Amino acid sequence: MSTVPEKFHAVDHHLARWALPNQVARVEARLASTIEELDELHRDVMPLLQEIVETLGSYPLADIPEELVPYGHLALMIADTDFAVNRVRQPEIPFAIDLRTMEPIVTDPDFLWN
Amino acid sequence: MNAPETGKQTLTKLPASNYYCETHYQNEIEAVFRKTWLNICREDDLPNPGDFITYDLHDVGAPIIIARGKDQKLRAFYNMCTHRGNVVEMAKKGNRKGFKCNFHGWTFDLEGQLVALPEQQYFPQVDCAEEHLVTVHCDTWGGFVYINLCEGEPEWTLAEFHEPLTESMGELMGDRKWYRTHGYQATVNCNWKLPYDALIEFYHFAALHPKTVGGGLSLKGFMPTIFSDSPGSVGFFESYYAPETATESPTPIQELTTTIGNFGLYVQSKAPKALGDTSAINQFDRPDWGTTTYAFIPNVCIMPVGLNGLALQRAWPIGPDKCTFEILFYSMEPQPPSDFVKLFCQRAAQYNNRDIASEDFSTLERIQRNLKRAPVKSFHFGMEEAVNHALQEQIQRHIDRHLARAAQT
Repeated sequence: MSTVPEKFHAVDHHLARWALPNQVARVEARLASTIEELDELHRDVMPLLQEIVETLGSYPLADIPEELVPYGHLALMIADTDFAVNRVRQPEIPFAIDLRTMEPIVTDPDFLWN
Repeated sequence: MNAPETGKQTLTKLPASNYYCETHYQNEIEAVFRKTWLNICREDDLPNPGDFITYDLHDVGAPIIIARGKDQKLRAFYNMCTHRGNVVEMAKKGNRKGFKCNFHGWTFDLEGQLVALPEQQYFPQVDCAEEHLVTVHCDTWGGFVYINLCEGEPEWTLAEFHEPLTESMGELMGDRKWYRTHGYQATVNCNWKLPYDALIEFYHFAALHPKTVGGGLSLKGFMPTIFSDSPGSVGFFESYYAPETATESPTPIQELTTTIGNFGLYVQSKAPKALGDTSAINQFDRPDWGTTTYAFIPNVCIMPVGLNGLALQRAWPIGPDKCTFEILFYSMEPQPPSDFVKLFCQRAAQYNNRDIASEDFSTLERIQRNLKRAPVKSFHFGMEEAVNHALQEQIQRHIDRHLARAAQT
């Protein structure tokens, strides 16, 4: 039996583009997008965001079912683009250093949630 | 008009050339970076015998290795074979019994002693017992590992160097376990002091961060304290939560992380003493305490933040107009978080923070380009920027002492 709540499938059409496995990929996707595309993503995912986060949060982090992982990555994409959508209304932060210049320092490169 | 004073400090204009002059830069390298204590990593980064990290010091010196020996002792060496100068370790971190140069195979143990010399019969002049990797002074304070590149004995012990903060900050950082949550590094075309400057004053918040930070932090309640007599502690200042000053409402994401995790960039801690009963933060025991920002010679800013966190920045010179900097964040909560709710809340704050930092660092290359044209010869520093001013004064004192000694010899 699937662990994915039925209502989550309402955002499945966003998974291929936006459910990305790490911050570097998310920033690249963000900067390659338009504010209209990010608005559409937020419009569709925000109503489910709390449920997605809490559904994944009902498992120990290491035991999240594989089929739920893309929804977690989608949630992190929403978090990554918070200021883009909700504050500055464009993908990049205006008058800021290119976000790609800031390379993430990660403890474990293979961690599923970098 | 007389220059304003903060404590013992008088805020004079300082030369803009401090940020681009080749001579001043070389003096900084020689008198400060190669004579004082440098913050490298946490002791926890090397928990077991054989654990090592290598670290690129850029313009400051040859790369180094920090290694924990079988005797649990931490040691530092130049990552440079004593045979022909190649690095003896190319990995950034790991666990080894020793370090083998991949040029000719000379091998050194965790104590730096040469233990294998291929075809030793052709080196009758080399006594393995006398051959070591070049040692670098290494000590710990507050759970951080420091090195000192000076030849001979350091002028100050690590404890003396950080007075008067040795005890209070040492306890805050060292008496509890800090887990690294995330970090960033970047190389930019500007003097190393510019990214450092960006984080040791909050005066810029209203102008530079109106949409991202959007107010909510009071910077007016507490003027910086400067340690004019310390060789290594520059000064500190505090900020306080002030929701009534917010110019932006929390975003839906920030509201969510507050709701489900009581966590966020501007979520005021319900327990301002979450960091423990320490005199290193919240000097006036205010319930709205937000951050305390400490600056240390030469290149480290350490900032305890309300929700049991610690932010650290190091800036490393690569030239008068180029540097690399690291920003690292630590939490008292074990990492990675135990569940996705905690992880999501942490990541959301992290991404907000990254975007804000990108604004901080946006001005750097523009300033540096302006400096080269040099129409403005000196800079003003206000009372909220007293730590920036003190940083340069302390650097200059180190340079003056170094040059005076050099003149005597």
